[in-house]
Amino acid sequence: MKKWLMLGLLALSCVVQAQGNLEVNTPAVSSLKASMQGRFAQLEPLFAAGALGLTRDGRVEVRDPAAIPLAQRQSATSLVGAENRDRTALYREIARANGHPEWEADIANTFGGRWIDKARAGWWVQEAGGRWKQK
Amino acid sequence: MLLGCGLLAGAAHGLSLESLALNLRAGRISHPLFKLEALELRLEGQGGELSLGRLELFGQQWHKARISCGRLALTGGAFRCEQGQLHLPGQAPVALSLRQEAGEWRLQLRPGPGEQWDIRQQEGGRLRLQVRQGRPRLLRLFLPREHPLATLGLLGRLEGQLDYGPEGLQGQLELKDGGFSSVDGRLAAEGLGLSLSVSGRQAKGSWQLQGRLEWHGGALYREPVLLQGAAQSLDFSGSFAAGAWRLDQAVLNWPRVGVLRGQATGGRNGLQEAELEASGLALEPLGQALLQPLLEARGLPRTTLSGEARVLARWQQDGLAALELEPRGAGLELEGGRLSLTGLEGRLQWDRQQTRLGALRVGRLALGRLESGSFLLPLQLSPRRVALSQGVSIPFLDSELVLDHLQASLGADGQDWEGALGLSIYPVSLEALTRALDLPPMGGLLSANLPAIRYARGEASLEGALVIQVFDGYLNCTDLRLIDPFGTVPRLLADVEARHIDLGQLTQTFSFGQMTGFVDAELKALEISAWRPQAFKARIVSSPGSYPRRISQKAVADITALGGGGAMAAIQSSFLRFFQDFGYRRIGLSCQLENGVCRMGGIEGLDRQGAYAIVEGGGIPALTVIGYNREVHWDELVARLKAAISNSSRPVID
Repeated sequence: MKKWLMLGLLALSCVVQAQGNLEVNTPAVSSLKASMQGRFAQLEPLFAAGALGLTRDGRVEVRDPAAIPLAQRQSATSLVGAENRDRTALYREIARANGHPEWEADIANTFGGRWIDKARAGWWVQEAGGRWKQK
Repeated sequence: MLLGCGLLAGAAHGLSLESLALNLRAGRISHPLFKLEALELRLEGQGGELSLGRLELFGQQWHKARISCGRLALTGGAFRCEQGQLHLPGQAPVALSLRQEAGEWRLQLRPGPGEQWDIRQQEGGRLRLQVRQGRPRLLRLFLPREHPLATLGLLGRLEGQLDYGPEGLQGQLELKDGGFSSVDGRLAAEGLGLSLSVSGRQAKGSWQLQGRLEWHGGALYREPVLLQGAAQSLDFSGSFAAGAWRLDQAVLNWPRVGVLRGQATGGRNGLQEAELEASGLALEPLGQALLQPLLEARGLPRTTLSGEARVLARWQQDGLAALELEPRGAGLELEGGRLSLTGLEGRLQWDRQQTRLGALRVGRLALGRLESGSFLLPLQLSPRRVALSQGVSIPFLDSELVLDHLQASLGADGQDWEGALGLSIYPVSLEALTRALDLPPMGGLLSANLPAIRYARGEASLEGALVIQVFDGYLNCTDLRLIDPFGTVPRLLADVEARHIDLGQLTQTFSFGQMTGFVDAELKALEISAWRPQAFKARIVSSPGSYPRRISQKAVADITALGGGGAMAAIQSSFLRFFQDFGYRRIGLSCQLENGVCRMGGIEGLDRQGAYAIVEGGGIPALTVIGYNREVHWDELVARLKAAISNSSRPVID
């Protein structure tokens, strides 16, 4: 799973070379990636169950809480909160390391688009209009 | 009972129900609980059908409801409908039997296996509802399709009895293993155990009800909060009508948390107004149950509350309108002890229409290992902004910090906070500060005037410089930034310059041999995360000027040890081993830390074939220290430094 995540990140890096170096590897980027990789094993079954979806702005959203057992819904929401905290920090750090903090939203959208492209079959992703679609 | 009269009249004329199709019409049946109009009984063969042109129940109306009877009997003043079904428009039919005999009638609904809903009317208009193994979903039959309750998918089993008579309504109902879920799953419950005892009477078109609801078990989820039933109870009284309801008094007893009292009004469009008041609320369990999930859902750090508070909150149709908070011996601690506030007392008021003044006494503010004394925060709370109403003096170690100004406001997106503060640090003893930080005690003073520390988009930045007087010189910190202070990787960025640092005091403080002289230093692009330097470009050089420059054998050994196995002390001649210290001309050492590796360098211009000079000898006797290892792992370097400070290194003298 880590390998898949790393491949995704590497692919993203190549795509956005034109507007900045997404491969920039500051200590904070490494720590954030490690934190996200550590969490992925918990998120993956929730993506597979359709409970979570990938948004176009590079975040994760609780799309269908009913797909999560009631007793686990609160912890799943916390998990998503932590994941989005790391994702936001990652996009912000990459923008900062490129010397262009104002690129944060563009970088987030670029990551979002690529995450969606790389999402597995069966996962839910957000379409341009904001509607959810199952890959 | 107009219907009963009509049917009896039909039976008295000796009609053979097996052979005739017959229509009987009746006017209306009116009861405080329900109304039936435009009744029509059609007999056909052994069965028949009762059409209910209009049915009104609990304020809801149906047109063209009907009861079909597989067997229908009208004999001797009795009416019996067996093998019947209730058909409500748009709903699945429900099995029933309906009997009327000797002034009483009885409706038995059997919606599912083992499920019994028996309604019995006795003389004097008394009604009794008895439920056994009742599924709450039956209630959906009597709700409009768009009613919020009708879309919740009610589950569970109901047991109990409700009696209605001239003295009013009273009864008990129990829900076992109850549950529901909104279509999107963001509001749901499972395994609910509820007991309801209720009494009331009808007057002027509305019901005056009072009762008690107890929650024994199960879980209720309202995204992102999950609450467990643990003997919470709600005592209530109010009036309820079809278009409006009024909760005159509600008392929620929440074990371990406290007692909350409230009133509310509402109608078809939901809540109109509500007020909730609670004194002596236990903040720790309340925070754990309500605040924690809200914070975590937004990726904010785990926060533990303590102590008690009085809370008063008012809502209007469009949301929270006012809030009062009076903490009593309360506290707040962020995960990992990054920040804590204890001994909180005072009164804060917030109103979405106007600015309110309040004050909060803080017994102690702690940032990591640094703690303040007690201070009072006079605050001005506006709808989307909080600010100090005047400057505040905060006792800190042997001195004080003065908060000149502080304000925080909610961004336009309603999500992120932005803020700024101005802070003056009056001279603080470095010795006290370093002791508090569990560092070797240093002499000197720390003072600063920081007119603007701004926080926005997860980053706190310092405008201006932080100046620390230390070891007879000073440190000047600029471009100081704290990024993502509440995130996974909080990090500190800064550029630091040191000027005229007295080596005598420095080496004595850190037990690093003994040196005399002064150095200047630069620490550019410093990045610290988790108390560990991640990157910097550092350089130390002898300060310009004329002053005694001596270095002890121990200091030579310690510096040599820092250079690693390849470093050596080049002594001009071996007899110098008998000297305790040596003269030097200048010192220079640099380290560029990147990816955990420090790239070392020495005095500029003295590099020789990969080696670098750390100490250039001068005077008599003179000594030069050469380093050979250009790259040293940061952990290794720190280990060597610790070893040097702990006196374990020995001089290498040829």
